Formats: sequence, C-alpha cells, structure tokens
Amino acid sequence: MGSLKHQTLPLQRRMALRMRRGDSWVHLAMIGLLIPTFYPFVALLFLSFKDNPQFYHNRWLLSFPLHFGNYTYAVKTVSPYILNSIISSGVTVVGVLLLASLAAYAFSRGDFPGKEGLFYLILSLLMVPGILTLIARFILVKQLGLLNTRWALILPWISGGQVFAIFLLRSFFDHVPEDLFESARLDGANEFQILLQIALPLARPIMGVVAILNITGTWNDLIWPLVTVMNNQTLYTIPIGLTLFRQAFWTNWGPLFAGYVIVSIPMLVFFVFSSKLFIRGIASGAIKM
Amino acid sequence: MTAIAKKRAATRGRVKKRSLLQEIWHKKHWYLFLLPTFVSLLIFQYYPPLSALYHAFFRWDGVTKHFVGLAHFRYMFTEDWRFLASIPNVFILMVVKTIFVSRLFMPILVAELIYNIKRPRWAYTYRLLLVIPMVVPMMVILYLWEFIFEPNFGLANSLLGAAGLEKLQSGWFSNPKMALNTFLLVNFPWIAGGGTGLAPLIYLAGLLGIPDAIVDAARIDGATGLRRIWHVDLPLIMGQIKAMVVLGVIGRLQGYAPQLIITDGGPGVATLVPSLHMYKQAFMYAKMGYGSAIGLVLFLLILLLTFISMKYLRSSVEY
Repeated sequence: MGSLKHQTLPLQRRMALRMRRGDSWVHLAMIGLLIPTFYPFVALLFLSFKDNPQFYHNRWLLSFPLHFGNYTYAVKTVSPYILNSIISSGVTVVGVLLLASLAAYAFSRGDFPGKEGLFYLILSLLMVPGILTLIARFILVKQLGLLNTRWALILPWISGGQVFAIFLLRSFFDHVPEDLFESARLDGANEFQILLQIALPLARPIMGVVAILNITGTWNDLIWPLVTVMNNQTLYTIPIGLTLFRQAFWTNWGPLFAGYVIVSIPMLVFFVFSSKLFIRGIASGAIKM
Repeated sequence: MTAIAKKRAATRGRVKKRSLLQEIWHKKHWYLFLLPTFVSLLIFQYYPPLSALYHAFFRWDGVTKHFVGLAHFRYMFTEDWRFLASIPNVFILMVVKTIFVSRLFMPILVAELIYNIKRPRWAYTYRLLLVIPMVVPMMVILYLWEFIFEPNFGLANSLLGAAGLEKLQSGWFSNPKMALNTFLLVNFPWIAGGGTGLAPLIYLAGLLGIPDAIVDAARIDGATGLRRIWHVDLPLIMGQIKAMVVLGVIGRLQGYAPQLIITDGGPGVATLVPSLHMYKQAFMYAKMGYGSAIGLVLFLLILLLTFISMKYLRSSVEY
C-alpha cells in the first residue's frame, strides 16, 4: 500500500493537473491585455480627485486627500448635457419603437399587395451610408425650419432608427405562432387591437434590444447634433457639451476629469439595468438570418 | 362528371377575383400601419441621398445652385491636394488599424484565449470585463486618449520619462510625422471599447458554436495549437470575420469624430481623412455641392470595398 506514492497518478488526476497548468498562460495573457485596457479608466478616476498641485506631482497613482469638490464643481456645468441627452435619446427611442412596431407587425402578419417589395425598399436603405446623406439632410432640416430645435435631433433620429428596428421586430413577429393571432381574430378583434394586446406584450424582450441599441447610438452621436444644434447651447447633448466643457476646463485637471467621469455614469447605470433585458432579448432567438 | 369537376362547376363564379386596386382598398388598414414609418423614411432617409446625388453636380451653398457637371470630380482628383493627401491617411488607418489590428489579429487572439479557458466561470468573467469599456461614451474615450498623448502632461510621455525612455517621447498628435501613427496607437491594446469590443465576443460566440465532434476530430488528427486555429477555427468563423471586417471598413471610411475632435485634421493635413475634408468643405466653407460630390465618391468607395471583401474573404466552411 505504501508503494502507491511511487506510482504515477491516475489518468484523470494527470489530465486535470495538465489542464490547470496549461491554463495559467492563458490567464497571464488575458490579464496582460486587460491591465492596459483598464488602466486609462482607473487613471481617469484617480486624476479626477486631484487638485492641480497633486496632479503635477504624481500622474498615475491616487493622491490623498481626495478632492470631492472637483465633482460638485463639474456637475454644475455637465448636468444640462446629461439632461439633454436623456430627453433627446429618450423621446427618440419611444418614437422608434412606436413606428417600427406598427410597420414590423404589418410586414409580418399582414398580407397586402407590394408587401415584400416595400420591405426590400426599406432594407435597401441599409446600403446608404450616413456620409452621403449628411449634407443634404442638414439642408433639409434647415429648410424645414427645425435648426436649433430639439426636433432637428429627434425626427431624423427616429427615421434613422427605423430600418434596423423594423428588421429585428419583424423577425421576431415572424416566429410567433399564428394560432395566438387566429384566436383573437375569431373573437372579432381588429388588427390594431391584436398588435396592441397580443403582439406587443410578447415582443418586450426584443423591443428591449432595439431600445438599447438605439439609445446607445443616439447617445454617442456627435456629428449630427454638432451640425444641427450648434447655435443653441441649451440643447447640447453630451458629445457636443463635452467639447465646450473640455475647452473651458483645460488645465483645470481635477474638475475636467471629474466631468468625464460624471458624464459616463448614466450609460453605466443604464447598462447595468438593461443587460439582463438585453441578454434575454437576444436569447429569445428572434435574431436569426 | 367527376366529383372534382362537379365541385369546380359549383364554385365557379362564387369567388370574384379582385382587381389590384380593390385589393389595395380592401387591405388599406395595413398601409396605415406603414404610413408613419414611410413618411419619416421618405423625408429623412430617401430624399437626402437623392438630393446629395443630384447636388454633387452643382455648385451649391444650400440656397442657390449652379450646374457644373463633373467639375467637382475633376477638381477633387487633380487639384484638391488636401483631398488627395487624405486618401492615404484613411487607407493607413483602415488597413493597419481597423482591419488587421482591431478586426483580425487582436479579437481572434482574445477569442481564442477565452475559448481555451477550461473553467467557464473565468471565461464569463473575462467576457464581462471586455464589455465594460463599451459603456464609456465615445467622447470620453477620445478625450482620455487625447490626454494620454498630451506632450507636456500626458501619461504617455510621463511614463516614458519615468522609465528612462526619454528618446521615445514625442509630440504625438502635435508632431506632423507622428500624428497619424498616434491615431493607430489609440485604444491600446485594442481589445475593447465601442465597435472594437464586439469583435472578440462575436468571434468567441462563433468558436463556441463549433461542434465538439469537429474539435475532437481535429485533436485526434493531431491538429493542436496554432495549426488547429489556422486550419479549423478560422475557416469555421469566417462568416463572423467577414462581417466584422466589412462593418469595420464601412465605419472607418465614414467616421471622422476622432480626427475632428483631437487634431482637426492637423497638423497641416497629417491626420485629415476624406470624410473630415467633406465635413469642412460643406460646413466651414459652405461648399455643399462639392461636399456632396466627395460624399458620393466615398459612397462608391464603400460599395467597392464591401463588394471586394464579400468576394475575396473565403466563405465560412459549412459542416
């Protein structure tokens, strides 16, 4: 019995040990990649708590005492931008979901002349890159008298979000069993009621996905607000607002970086709350080609 | 008469075939469902590109126009030295950074690394960590990297100085020779953030979708490590790779926010990209017609590159 020590380990133990040892290179590599990935953000955080002397003294590590005042100072300048982003992106996403669910339901469940043709017409818009339309869309908005109003942002954003939203929503509706709708039709419901009371509640996860993708897109959009709302500072969303903010606070390092951090928080919060919805939506299997 | 013929005779004349117009009127409620969408699309999505195509042949300041035929295009490719200088810039960014680094090398590396982790809990953690930087607004990331490469106070030069590598210190964005390269360096190590962060996750999902049978067969055949990656993994996720590369190219050709925000195309034209040139021509000099012409050229370039990518990146191997 004592000679067991000199025997080789059973096969499973050997395999397990080999796996664990082999794994460490992978972990090392991943950590090696993740550290430089995250360090800039960590540095941002550290820098946001410094006052200028601390900044010039040490660039990369945390300095004590922490100057929370940087945050209260930056918040005043930066919060209007956050508010504008929330309003503009929020109204946009509601509009996108409204219009797109109507259209997607029609494409999915309806049967009318020209249905597929119209659908391909919509899909073909995916081929048109934004770069081609920027200038002309600006002139259009100008001619409609919408420059420097919130509608200059919201209306084009709603129209821009349609194609992808319709695509996703239609794909979802296509996979809903017909019987659910049949029984409602037999009960005398008209199509609109069916959409409202049956299709939409079912589609909540996929609508969540559409909402998240849409909000992320409009939230980060710099060019369009820059071009349409330039002369109305009260409407500045976060991207343009930040350009002003950076100009004003350059070399006032602590509050500058505090502002950057503050402006990142809403998205972070949004992400935390919506990731479960997002995953559930994707897992619902509606996104198929 | 046969039973079938009897039935046909009985039903003949009972169902009237509707004309197209009658069919449309009968189904009119569906068109109402589509109405809001199409109105918004017609106004903001169909009209502008058509207007752009039209005005590319005019001198236009947004109010008055004056037909000039192909003059814009002639000017663009012969006399507009800024435009001509911007083309190699965007190609360098596109080929080196977007294609090779952000959409091929780094994401495949990361996807393979995570794929080869035995314990799923670690794999999940790493995936989560990759997603987190996507939450930070693009502007913050740009300004953060602008600061990192700030010549006097930025992290890059400070770190180099502290490590005794003063020789490597540079003006970064303010140095005409270094500015474009600095854009290549932004977002080091290029595995997360914005669109870049999606690629490893998508490739990983593709790898996880490879059936065990194939993985085992490969192992039995002796294909391990790099050989397995090259001969088995990559062909099987070629579909995802194609998609990410094409999307990356399309985005890179159109995007100019980093260049606008950090260097405004400078110093000189060192970091000018065609889309930024278009933006400036249209919105700073009110040369809307010329800008539309540049937009048109970019559109055709995108079509061309997309077509080439689809054709020449080998199709995903089916199993």
